[in-house]
Amino acid sequence: MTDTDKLTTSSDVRAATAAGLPGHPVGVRARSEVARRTEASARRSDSARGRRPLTRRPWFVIVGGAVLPLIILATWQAVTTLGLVSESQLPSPASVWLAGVDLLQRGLLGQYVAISTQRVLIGFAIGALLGLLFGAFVGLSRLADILVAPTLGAIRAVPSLAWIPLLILWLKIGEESKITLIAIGAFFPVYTTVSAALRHVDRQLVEAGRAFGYNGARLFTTVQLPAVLPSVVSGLRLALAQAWLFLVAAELIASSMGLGFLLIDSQNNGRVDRILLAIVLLAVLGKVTDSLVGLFERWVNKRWS
Amino acid sequence: MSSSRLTARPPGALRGASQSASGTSPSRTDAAFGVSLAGVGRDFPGERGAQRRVLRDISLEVRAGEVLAILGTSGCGKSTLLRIAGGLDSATAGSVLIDGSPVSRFDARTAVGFQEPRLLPWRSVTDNVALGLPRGTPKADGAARVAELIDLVGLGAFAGHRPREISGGMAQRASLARALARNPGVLLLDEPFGALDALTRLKMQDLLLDVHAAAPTTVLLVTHDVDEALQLADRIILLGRKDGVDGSSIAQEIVVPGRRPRDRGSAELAELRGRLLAGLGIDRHGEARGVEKTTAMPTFPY
Repeated sequence: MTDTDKLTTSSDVRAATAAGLPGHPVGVRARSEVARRTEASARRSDSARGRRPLTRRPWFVIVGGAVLPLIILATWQAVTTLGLVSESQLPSPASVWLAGVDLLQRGLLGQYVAISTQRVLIGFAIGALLGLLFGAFVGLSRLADILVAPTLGAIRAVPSLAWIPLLILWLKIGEESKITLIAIGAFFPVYTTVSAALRHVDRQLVEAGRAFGYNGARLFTTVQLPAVLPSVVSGLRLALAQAWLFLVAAELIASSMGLGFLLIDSQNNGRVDRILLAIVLLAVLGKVTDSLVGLFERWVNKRWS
Repeated sequence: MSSSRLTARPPGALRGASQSASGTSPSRTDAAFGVSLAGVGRDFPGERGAQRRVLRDISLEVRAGEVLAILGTSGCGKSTLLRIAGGLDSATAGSVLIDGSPVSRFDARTAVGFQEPRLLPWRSVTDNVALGLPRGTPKADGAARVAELIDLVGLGAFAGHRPREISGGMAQRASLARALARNPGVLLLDEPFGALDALTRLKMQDLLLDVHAAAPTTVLLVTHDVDEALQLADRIILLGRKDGVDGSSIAQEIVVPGRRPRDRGSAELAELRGRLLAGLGIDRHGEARGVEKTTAMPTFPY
């Protein structure tokens, strides 16, 4: 191959013949052009990689998420300082903060948050575990599906508040009744997602597993469980949200501690500032626990799909 | 893309790997089993309780170590026959024996290479191949065997990759390695290269020949590709339906002449190809018995 073979365009060839030069410098020029072109494209792809669009940058995601809460807070502050609403209807953010500090100093706030979180976590753990078990049975066994699924479907249709009188009579006003109610709340999202996901595991993968000698529990842990793990985690996330929901239902009706108790107690005493405090705390706690499960979910999705 | 990755590895290297593999294998028994089918039939429940017959009266003796290709049109029941042989499906009539004893459900003496790779997406190539190891294989032996098989199918550089990170041809090779990891007496391949591009398919065929030379197991290969059957098989059966009769049976049986690897351009194979294509209902656009209809291809301008 001669150097002239490297000329890429007809104008290169013409320039080369006109100059009467041996192909060398022209060849080099053609190459440097190519090099410049690849440099440019590399820079372009670099910039595509380095300068991500605004909506993909972490700081923007965090700031963007905080914009609306800050606007709400500012509006709240403005409304109270301008005196548009009476203090008894809507206390200022500062007085809610002071109510929080006051409760904290009396040691009540920490206790309430701790007991509520404990109830949610224990109830959630029990409910999710049972949901996983029943979901696995119903999803894997046609017989279990026929025998159990309609009953569970009917129990699921019972509104959460309807359980409370019965649970109080049976289990008395104690931790058991509240944790049971929260477990009921956490059970159904997990049960539903797991049983549905197991029914839709790729049949070809399951058959391949069987063809390689896997069956029963080994097939479940090797093929089916990993295949449904992402759905299980999204079920867990729903269950956790439901657990907070049922917590407040339980504590509103019968309790002497906890954020739900703070709500109902403040209602009876007319302490709107404490009601707002409890609502904000529930929002923050729910969001924080949900984000933690969300992180776990992202890891699971990366690892198991 | 996949074919270019394949070409990156010289065929000699692959052959060398397979030979060294056969020499140093720690846990291989190299037992190949004969398969015997007697009067096998399969009905599927059709609409309103009617039975739809897919296979009838299939009797066949496959010798240990033989490569048998099962050829047929789409929907003729060739995959069903293979699934029956591996215990993935059961016959409604007749009997299937492997090594003289009846085939059991998901028979441990067989291993299946499916048309799709069917790899577990959350496992690496290594762990997917390890899925095929017989139950109770000691850990160290198993790991050595998996590594050896991955080298044999030329995936050494991709052992830690997930299935979605490798090409279709590589996934199919991993699937083949998984089937081989079971050390099967009968290897059942259900159109294993059907979804691959033409060049990758040819390379995979050569790979299969290498593998078979290294560990001569019995192979039942379902395919709709006549050339593939002629290239790989000792014997070819053609499944087909007779007019007016439900269910496919063996319409033709051809012993392929010559030793593998065969010349892909051989005239003798071309004649057999014509006969098989005719059996599949394809017009070969030429006279039978190797006499060409026209003396030469027309030249441009016509």
